[in-house]
Amino acid sequence: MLTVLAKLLKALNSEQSPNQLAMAVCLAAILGLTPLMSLHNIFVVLIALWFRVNLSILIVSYPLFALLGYLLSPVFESVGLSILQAQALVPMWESFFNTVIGRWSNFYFSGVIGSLIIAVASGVVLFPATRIAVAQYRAKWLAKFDQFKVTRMLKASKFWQLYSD
Amino acid sequence: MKIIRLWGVIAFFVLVLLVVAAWYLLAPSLIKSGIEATGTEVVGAKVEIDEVKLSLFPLGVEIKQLQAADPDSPMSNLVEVGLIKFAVDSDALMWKKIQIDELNISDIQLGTSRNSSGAIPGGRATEQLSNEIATIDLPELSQQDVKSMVEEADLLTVKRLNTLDTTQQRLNQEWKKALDSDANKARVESLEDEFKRLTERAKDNKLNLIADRKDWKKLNKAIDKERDNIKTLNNKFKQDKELLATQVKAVRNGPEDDLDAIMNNMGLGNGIDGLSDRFLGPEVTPWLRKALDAMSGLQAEPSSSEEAMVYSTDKGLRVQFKDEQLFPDVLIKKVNLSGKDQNWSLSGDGSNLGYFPWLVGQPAKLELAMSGQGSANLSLHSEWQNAQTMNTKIDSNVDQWPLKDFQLMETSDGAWMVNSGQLESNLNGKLTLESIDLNLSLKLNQPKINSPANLSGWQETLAESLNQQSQLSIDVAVTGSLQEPQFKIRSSIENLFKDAIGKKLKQQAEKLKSKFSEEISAKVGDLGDLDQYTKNFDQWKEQLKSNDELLEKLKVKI
Repeated sequence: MLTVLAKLLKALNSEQSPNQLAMAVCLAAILGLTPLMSLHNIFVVLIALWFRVNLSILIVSYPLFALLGYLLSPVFESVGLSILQAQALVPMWESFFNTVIGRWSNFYFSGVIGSLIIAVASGVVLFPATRIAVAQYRAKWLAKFDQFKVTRMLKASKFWQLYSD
Repeated sequence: MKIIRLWGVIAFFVLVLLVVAAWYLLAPSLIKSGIEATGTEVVGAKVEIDEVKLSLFPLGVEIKQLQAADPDSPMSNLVEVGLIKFAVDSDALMWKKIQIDELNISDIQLGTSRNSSGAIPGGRATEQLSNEIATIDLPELSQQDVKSMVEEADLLTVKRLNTLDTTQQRLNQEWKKALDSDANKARVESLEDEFKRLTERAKDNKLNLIADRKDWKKLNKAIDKERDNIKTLNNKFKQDKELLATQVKAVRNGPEDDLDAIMNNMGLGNGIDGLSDRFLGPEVTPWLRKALDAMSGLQAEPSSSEEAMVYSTDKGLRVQFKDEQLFPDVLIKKVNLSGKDQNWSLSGDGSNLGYFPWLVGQPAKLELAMSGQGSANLSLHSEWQNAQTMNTKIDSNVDQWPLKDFQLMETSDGAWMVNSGQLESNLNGKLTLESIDLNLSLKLNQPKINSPANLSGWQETLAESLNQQSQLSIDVAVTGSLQEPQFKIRSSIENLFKDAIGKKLKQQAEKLKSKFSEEISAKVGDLGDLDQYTKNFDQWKEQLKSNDELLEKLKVKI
């Protein structure tokens, strides 16, 4: 728990831009909410490694989104089924299914497409929200947080030293 | 600040390479453990593989020395296969489809001995379920003889006879009361007397017609009331007659229903579960049921995008879109089988075995032949003209195949083994998506049956009588459809139950105290005299009719 907290605070207090942190949260949402062993997640990992996305935030956020994904799976199934069966979209899905990528994407499983659509949609909201939250935190709350006993204790601990390297 | 992280790209490709390398190294053991785990669960004893080899170019799999232990005799194998070899078409694999040009299964042997026991410690996962099924379907086979079982059975015929008797007695009382001859006679006579009195008065003086007009009206009303009463009784008469006729019919059908119920309880009924439990073993039943469900689930692919079908899978719901890659998900273009033992040799080949079969485009064929002291062969030909039209023909026969130490059935007292005998069997017929017409005939000539020790009662008698038979026969007819197959089984054992039920009915019927009980009990075998129950109706109808006619005459005169 302390490790997680240290990682989180370290990332928030770092020089990294809020965009990098926000992007990490968005990618963690896609990784966590959708089934991990899916083709699109290889692409997500590539983006996370290629671009300067904050990996600590991504690793910390992933389990939270995975838990949320588990709880919301019936919703994903239902949303996915509606999307796959929507008359206007059927020709598109059919064409996509008949491509090699489409065949391996598993998008014809309602849970996969439902969770991906919801994850991307929530990413659209999460990205600006996280950016604003990080900016607000750094501008208003960072100094106050540093005064907290817990923060000071944490900064003095070996965890902080470990993640400050 | 740079937004690209060069080491990240390198790390990604290193990661991908590591995953591919790990897959290549681990795939053979994953395939091996997958086959072993699934096979063990299906067979109910250890399925082991010596080695799995995977080649990438072309993508091929080689499985060496596959052994499936015999669950009933764990120190020997049910089957041992020296080599299974096949190559998978990588182009088809791109589309998530498995296409095998040639599958070779060689060095098949049966009943080979094992170095170690093939029993599964603790039993398999479905064992408990299977045990429950066995307990439910075969409740009293080991504890009770046929006689006591029939004695304790809640026979429908006896129940129905009791109901019929009670109904008949009730109706007798009701009609006796309704048609009480003294009361009826008194009422009709009083009406007649009144009519005579008023007629006399009218003859004496015509003006009395005016003076007695109230009495005439009263008489007229009384006659109408009496006739209404007769009309109501006529309606009741129809209903009661129908009720009794229905009950008589139910009693007539009773013995057949009782026989079916008892046979079903013994697992010898016509259901697939009972048949499978008895002759294949309860552990096979769930798998057979799954296979049947899969068969009945064979459905055409959607003909247009608007009809995209949804399948439930372990990954969730899958929407099946129209597949433009018109070849089956799994296809074995050719399969070769060979194997031999000291007593027999096997050869076989098949072609175009695929799923979904209507996408194969060619008829699927499978031919197997075994020769030894006897001979056996199987021929299967299945043609799918399209997703809606399937025509499968099966022709199989076994001729004079010597059986030794073969388990006929198992009760909790132990196994009933065929020590020796010669098997003759025929299975033939055809299947379409709409109908099944299959007939299986099994004959065991000169059977020597070794029954479990310390049997008593009917089981002992059964064991003796089985050994006295020159031939045991079981005939199974399968009709109906793939969705709802109907099984009819007729075996020598069934006759024992039929006789016992007949005797039981006779005894029970004798206990009935109604006046018809003797007649019925004497003929309970065919229940022919049940019409006695309805004979009073003629008498009642006659009585109603004569009363009504008399009243009608009076009415006309008035």
